[in-house]
Amino acid sequence: MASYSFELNGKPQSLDCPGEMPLLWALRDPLGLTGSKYGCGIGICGLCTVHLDGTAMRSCVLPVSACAGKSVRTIEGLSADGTHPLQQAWQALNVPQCGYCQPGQLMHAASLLAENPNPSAEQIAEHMDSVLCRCGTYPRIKQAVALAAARMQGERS
Amino acid sequence: MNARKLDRRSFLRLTSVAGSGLMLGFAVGCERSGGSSAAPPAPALTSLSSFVSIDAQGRIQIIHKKTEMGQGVRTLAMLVAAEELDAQLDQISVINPSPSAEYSDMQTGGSYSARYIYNAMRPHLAAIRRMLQQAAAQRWKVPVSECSTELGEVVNARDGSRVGYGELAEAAAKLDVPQDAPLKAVADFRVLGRSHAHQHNREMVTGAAKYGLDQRVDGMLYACLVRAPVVGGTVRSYDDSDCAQVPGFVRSVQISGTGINTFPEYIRDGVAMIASNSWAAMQAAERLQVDWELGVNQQFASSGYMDQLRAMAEGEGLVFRQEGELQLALEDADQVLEARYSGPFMAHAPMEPMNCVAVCSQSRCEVWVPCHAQNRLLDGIKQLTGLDEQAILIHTCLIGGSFGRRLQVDYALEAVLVAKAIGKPVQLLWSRQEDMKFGCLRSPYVQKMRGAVKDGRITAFGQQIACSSVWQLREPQMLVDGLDYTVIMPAKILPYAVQNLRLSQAITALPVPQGWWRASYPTIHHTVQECWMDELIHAAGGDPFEMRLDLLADDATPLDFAWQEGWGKDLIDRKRLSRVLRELRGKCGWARPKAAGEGRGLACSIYSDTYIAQVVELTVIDGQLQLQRVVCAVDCGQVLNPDNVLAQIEGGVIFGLSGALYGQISFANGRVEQSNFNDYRLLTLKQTPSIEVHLLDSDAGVSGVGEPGAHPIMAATCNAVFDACGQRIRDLPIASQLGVA
Ligand code: FES
Ligand code: FES
Repeated sequence: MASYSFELNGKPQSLDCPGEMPLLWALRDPLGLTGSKYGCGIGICGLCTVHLDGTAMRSCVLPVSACAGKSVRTIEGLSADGTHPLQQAWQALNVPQCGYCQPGQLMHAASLLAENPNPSAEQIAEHMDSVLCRCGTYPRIKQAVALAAARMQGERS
Repeated sequence: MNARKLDRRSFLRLTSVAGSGLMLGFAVGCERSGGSSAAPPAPALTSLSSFVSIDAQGRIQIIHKKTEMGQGVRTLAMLVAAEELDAQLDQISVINPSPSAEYSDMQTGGSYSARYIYNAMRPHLAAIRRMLQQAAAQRWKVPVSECSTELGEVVNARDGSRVGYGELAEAAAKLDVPQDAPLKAVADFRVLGRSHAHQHNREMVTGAAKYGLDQRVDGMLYACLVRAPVVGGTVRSYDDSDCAQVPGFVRSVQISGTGINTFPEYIRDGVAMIASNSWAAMQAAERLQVDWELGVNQQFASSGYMDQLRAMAEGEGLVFRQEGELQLALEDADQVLEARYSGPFMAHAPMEPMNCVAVCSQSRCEVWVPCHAQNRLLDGIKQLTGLDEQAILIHTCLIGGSFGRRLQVDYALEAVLVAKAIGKPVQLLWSRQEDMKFGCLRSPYVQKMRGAVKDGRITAFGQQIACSSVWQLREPQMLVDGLDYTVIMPAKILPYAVQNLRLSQAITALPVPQGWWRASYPTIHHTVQECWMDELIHAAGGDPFEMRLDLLADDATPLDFAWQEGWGKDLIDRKRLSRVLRELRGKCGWARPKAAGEGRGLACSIYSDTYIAQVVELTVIDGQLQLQRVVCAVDCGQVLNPDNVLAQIEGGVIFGLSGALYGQISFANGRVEQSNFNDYRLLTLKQTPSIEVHLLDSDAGVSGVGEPGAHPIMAATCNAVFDACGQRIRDLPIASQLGVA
């Protein structure tokens, strides 16, 4: 078993584990961060999405060894106090039903807004298409991403 | 065993009785729930009843028998409590008790919770508010009539002085329980009837919410179970020598299952792989070598049982509703129609796979579980362990979706067996593949439909249902003269006045664990009946709205259809359904011209006093279906939290569309062929049409919306395909016949 060091939600972290252990399970079990969710384990559903050096990645198929020396951000670190514009928009539009997919939805949406602060409705739909929700919150997800983007624009101008 | 045979429907009936008999004045005997928003009980908690406690700071705790799984029942309990107690929302919290003699009938389903919360909790809360007023009256030595309530305080009408509920709780708890405390008038509502977001949203968007899979207990190990791939299969021998190379692997242990007919659940034979983390347990499971005795079901395959159902659909069946003379009407008709409809097994596939944490010794058993059939689980644990109720503690976790799946408690009983075998706390995790392969499925079906048209009118409607019965499989004593009322009732309530009707049932018990799938049989019968109405209306040259309204015109009195004895009846109010259809016609733009390839389809249904109609708009171009728009009109009686009703209908529509387009679990060699979301597909965000929901103002009582959104949508979609391209979809899923964009 090797030791891997990376930055986790802004703080240095090291972990002894097999290098091929998917980051999802390293986060959830030894590191105790259960916000990232397991849905499919094969990179289809998007529930385990985290940011690796700012890019959205599916942590169920991302080996811990690939994170060494990099920066990992999870839903627990999306904002210090739950006030990321997406988190606010999600609450304002009452997006969650069971809520289980929402950490993945939010992390995936955050990567879109980081790259494209003013996405069109089509760009939002295109981007968010790859995260599944069984409860059927898609219509509200679309609206909430647009609302968060609009508010961020407002703050900038 | 002496377990009560409680199924979903019988529970509903029992609850309504229990609801009027809620008793005050018990000590609170529940442990805190494992749910993340449950605050630890404050030390000076005064128990005002078995369902409400108030601490000295005025924090109100509702002990709630209904389980949150995304349908909003936790928030609804808070809203109803805030309303009827005249308290502030933020002073209220909700926990689930462990089931017991005091907290019995814990089961959440049947789109019944809103009705239960509103009708059963309010008198109880009103009595508590009255006791708080009386306590204040004693303190101030004024008449109760001069003590009003406002936002968590009692107000003295004489001098305007105020005292908080927290200060009054102890004195109030000593008072006799008033039997005549008045309920608040709806006109005075300040909380209910307005939209409120879920109270747990913040935890959900920050990753703080703790689902079953997020539970951690001191000293906990992680387990996967390698299960018999075929129902009834057993372990001949196994070899775990390769597993030792997996870092974190602890040990393996063989688990003996039950039979497919065992009540309450079928548990597969298997080998549990124990490890220090989830991934190691999964890795070890992959390396385990098992020699299976596959048993009698190893040839079980879709082709076989679908043929069996097809043959059953051709028989006479047991008639459960007959009016006029179907045969004569067919002979006398201008046009006679006949067709077969079919649909496959379907899985629930909630995003959180099955899981449970358990610790079990000789003397006690404790579980943390995302489950909403807690009493069924309690019965199962008693049966497996021989422990009595006092030695069993069930913590209900937040649930990552269920749709009926977690009304079966197989996964939790497995965890108990594993915990018992290893003598340590353990979390059993189902991989997604296992969740797909070992689900409790919705029945497949074949239905033979007949109908007649004469002089432009529909004169006959025949339906022979062939399907697998959940009850026949495991609770055959629930059948009455061979009839399964859970199967027949959704068909029996056909609301249309067709003069010659014959509805009949042929059931079997396929050797597959089965369960309730967003109500199950309504998703079958309403689909087939509404598609068949569309065919008959088309043959009669009528308009789908006009002709339905015509067949509902005779609406003088609601029809009632009896369940089996002691189970009450379903009321069908044609007036309400007509109103919903008219509202929908007004909103959906039915008469707008259509371009080539555009289609619109209508369907409606009634479920548990909720009336719903839906229009689907789609295009079929070059054999490719694309959804465009769904419009719904809903009469669910008095609306308590409108935005949540909209969310539930939206969610139901999307769930039903996934089923209609893709939903299919098939078998070959006794094994489920699907394994993950790549071959059991869900609708994605881009495919989702725009969804409009129109709620009707209604004088009717509160009824539920968790399931009905998913009921007409499959038929409306098939009918729209016909409208677009002339192709009748009688065999689901649609994607087996058309491309889907
Ligand atoms: S759990 Fe990682 S994509 Fe589904
Ligand atoms: S909110 Fe339940 S899966 Fe998306």
